[in-house]
Amino acid sequence: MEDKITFTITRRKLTEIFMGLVALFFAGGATASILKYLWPATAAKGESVEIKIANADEVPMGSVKKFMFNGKASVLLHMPAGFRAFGSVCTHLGCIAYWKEDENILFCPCHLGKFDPNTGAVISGPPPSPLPAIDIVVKDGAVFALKWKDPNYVKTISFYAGAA
Amino acid sequence: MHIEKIEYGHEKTGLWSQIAFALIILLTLAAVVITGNLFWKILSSDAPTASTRTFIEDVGKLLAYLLFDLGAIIYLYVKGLLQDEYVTTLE
Repeated sequence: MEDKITFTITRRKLTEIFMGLVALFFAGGATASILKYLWPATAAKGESVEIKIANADEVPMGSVKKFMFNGKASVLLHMPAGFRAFGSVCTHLGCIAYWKEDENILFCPCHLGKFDPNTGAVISGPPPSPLPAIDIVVKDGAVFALKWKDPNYVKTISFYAGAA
Repeated sequence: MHIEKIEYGHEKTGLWSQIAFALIILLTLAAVVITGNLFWKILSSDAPTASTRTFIEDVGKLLAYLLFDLGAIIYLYVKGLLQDEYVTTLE
């Protein structure tokens, strides 16, 4: 009895299988990238992650650096009292507040909201609440963002607000 | 009414065909390396790095290389391995 199994495959078929595997690999990578985009960081749940904002010497006293934190426009300030970081999405209608050096404030140009650069508190204007503070740490000569001080902050604003 | 079925003949043979197949293998490996590199770059980069111009340009270049590579594979597959197509008419 002949029990030998013969399996033949053509070069053409082999090429098609290779191409299929490359396509699967690409699809897997694309899916993983999309999932990473949809669930970017654990900080949204109030957990801590370290995201490097800048080297400390890149932000001299009195200057600022804009950065994105959890998809929201944010700003790092180097004040005489130390580094401070806030989400810069105005708590009024979601415009982006910026550092106004001549007045020493964070300023929202849409409705003239003014915020204290040390605490994020509202100085004047229509914003109903302070800018959300970000916990930061300075180590190894660099400043890292850890998490929102208020873990519920990202749930309270529009998904698109400040998403540059 | 009749139905036309497009079929391909047997694989091509000869030196050019063998070279084309060897190149297809090499280009497929290159495609795997480029794809892996591309997604590793995307998945492993943190947000500040991923928003730099350099990063976006690098990803664009890798996508362009991948597109070129896949185009070359398809060209070699069609020209190197396939016979000319012919049409069978089924009544």
